[in-house]
Amino acid sequence: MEAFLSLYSVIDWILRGASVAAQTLALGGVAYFLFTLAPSKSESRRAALERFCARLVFWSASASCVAQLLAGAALIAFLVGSTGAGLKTAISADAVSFHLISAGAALALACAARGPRFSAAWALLALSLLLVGAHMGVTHAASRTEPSLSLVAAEMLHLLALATWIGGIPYFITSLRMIEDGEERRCVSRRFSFTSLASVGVIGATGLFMAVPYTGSLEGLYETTYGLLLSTKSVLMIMLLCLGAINFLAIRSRRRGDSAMLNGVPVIAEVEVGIGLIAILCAVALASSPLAVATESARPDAAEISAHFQLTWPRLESPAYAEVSAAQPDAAVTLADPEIANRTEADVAWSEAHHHYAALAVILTGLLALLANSRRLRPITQHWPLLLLGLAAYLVVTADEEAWPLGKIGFFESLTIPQIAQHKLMIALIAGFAVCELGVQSNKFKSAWPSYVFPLTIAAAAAFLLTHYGHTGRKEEVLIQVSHAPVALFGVIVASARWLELRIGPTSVSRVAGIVWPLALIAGGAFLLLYRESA
Amino acid sequence: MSRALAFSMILLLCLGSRALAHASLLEAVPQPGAVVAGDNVSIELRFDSRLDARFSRLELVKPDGGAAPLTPQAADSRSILKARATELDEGPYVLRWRVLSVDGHANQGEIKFQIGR
Repeated sequence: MEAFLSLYSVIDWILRGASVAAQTLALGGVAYFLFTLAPSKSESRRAALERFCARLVFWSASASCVAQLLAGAALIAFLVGSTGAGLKTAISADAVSFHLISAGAALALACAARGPRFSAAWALLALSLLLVGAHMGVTHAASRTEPSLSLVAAEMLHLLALATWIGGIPYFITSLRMIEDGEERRCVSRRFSFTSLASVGVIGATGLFMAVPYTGSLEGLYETTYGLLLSTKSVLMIMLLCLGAINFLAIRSRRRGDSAMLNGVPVIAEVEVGIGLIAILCAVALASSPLAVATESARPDAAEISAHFQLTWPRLESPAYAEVSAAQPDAAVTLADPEIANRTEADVAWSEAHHHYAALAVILTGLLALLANSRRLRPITQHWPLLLLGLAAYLVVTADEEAWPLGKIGFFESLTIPQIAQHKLMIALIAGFAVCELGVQSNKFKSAWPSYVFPLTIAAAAAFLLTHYGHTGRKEEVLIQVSHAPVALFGVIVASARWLELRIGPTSVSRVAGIVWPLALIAGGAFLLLYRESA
Repeated sequence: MSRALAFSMILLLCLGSRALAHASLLEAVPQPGAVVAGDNVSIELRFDSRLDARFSRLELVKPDGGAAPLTPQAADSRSILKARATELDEGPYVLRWRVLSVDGHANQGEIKFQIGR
């Protein structure tokens, strides 16, 4: 039970993320069916598309229902375990009620999608509104000291518009693949562009409307965990807008008779789905963070933040292990929270130096991957994943100095500490995708899927880097978040460009993408070189 | 493609984060570090979110290390947690609080203060 209680916030975040992602997909399907699906020349094709929409809405609404039920069950277990409340009392908690209502609404939507009357627009609309309305009960808007109807309405519109746009993309991709007639494809593309543009407008307006009372000031956007998450989400939305604009231009170019670009539309839309999912996870992290306006202490000021980005020579000399706290006989490291120990100058120097060594390895990897575009240099430079394997081995030794192999905490013992377990998982992922990519670069695989391991791992790591803050509520953590957010955003660019390169086929776009991702890797490494823990 | 999507979902679910919950303490009486005169203390904590009072707890750790739960009193607002501690001896105290906001986020913290004469 103790382990469950300490992991509860992680479990809650995962379940909330899963339910919001599934809900977005379900509502996106409803919006796509109602507003985008164009009349078809072929009855059977129209029926096939409707069936696809209904099937995906059914599965995603079911997934949302399960996630909401699990979130409710987890909260009940947490309340019983942590407060000693009875089961009946725990079930009657406000948030549990909203989880259960959301689950009921999702189930009703799933049933409507499965039933014979999927085309009943009023029922789909009513159930969608009920689903989003019930979800409002577990958001910032509902928990404000003085609940504001306008904030609740803004949050609802925000979620509905996000679902219409991001949640509608998988349906759009499938439509493009199922429809062969050029005129019909253009019609669907035009309609989806229109609903997406309208959704973007609503997202921007409602986002701004909520940001003002929630952040309190412009400084709140970069001095707090909440503000930094919000800023990051805004950057992701801008990336999505750029991709949407590329697709829009591709559709327009088709009108002029150039079909080459239209073939890339579904692949770009796939990237939009990935970035959209990361944006949704950011939104879930936002909902779990203290509002910027309520964060008075633990705020670094602008001078402290800019000091973090000052160009100084990287720390290339690490102190000896014997100098760091973890090596001292009376080390105040506890299993419960290794961060409790006061960090000495040697600890900070150790951490900075090893961050900078890792940054140099990333920059070198990017350079080699860039040079692998040259046919002459490729036989040597294609082995760039070996550098990442070396980096993973190096991180095993240095990332957590208090744990095995350098520290006193044994390997298996260290896996019970969430922070160290997360680091070890990240290292395993780096090693895993480096091995996969080594095979991909030397054409060892017949199947295409191993090549996707690299972009998907990078995207997942970027999502993790963007959202894993808020452990301590300390100013230092906000400063680390400031350093990590740009690195993570470059990670999103690496993953997106590599995905495009792999999926779009041999065109000028894939060649450009093949240059962009190594450059983004180099830029991410360069930002990591600026990493500072010292003032 | 479906394998790739499944892989990405598993990755994202594995990489869970631990976010601090968002019922933040805005004001506290007694304030952290305060020296309070007398043997009774009125406690009032104001948060930035509405609380589900049935799951919010206050506990006072006494100078001898013993902890006693405090019974919450009715407050004017759902974002305020009130209690009264009586018959306190001189010395350092720790007030531990644990709250659940109505949107289901839990948070906890402590306030150290002193009873002086």
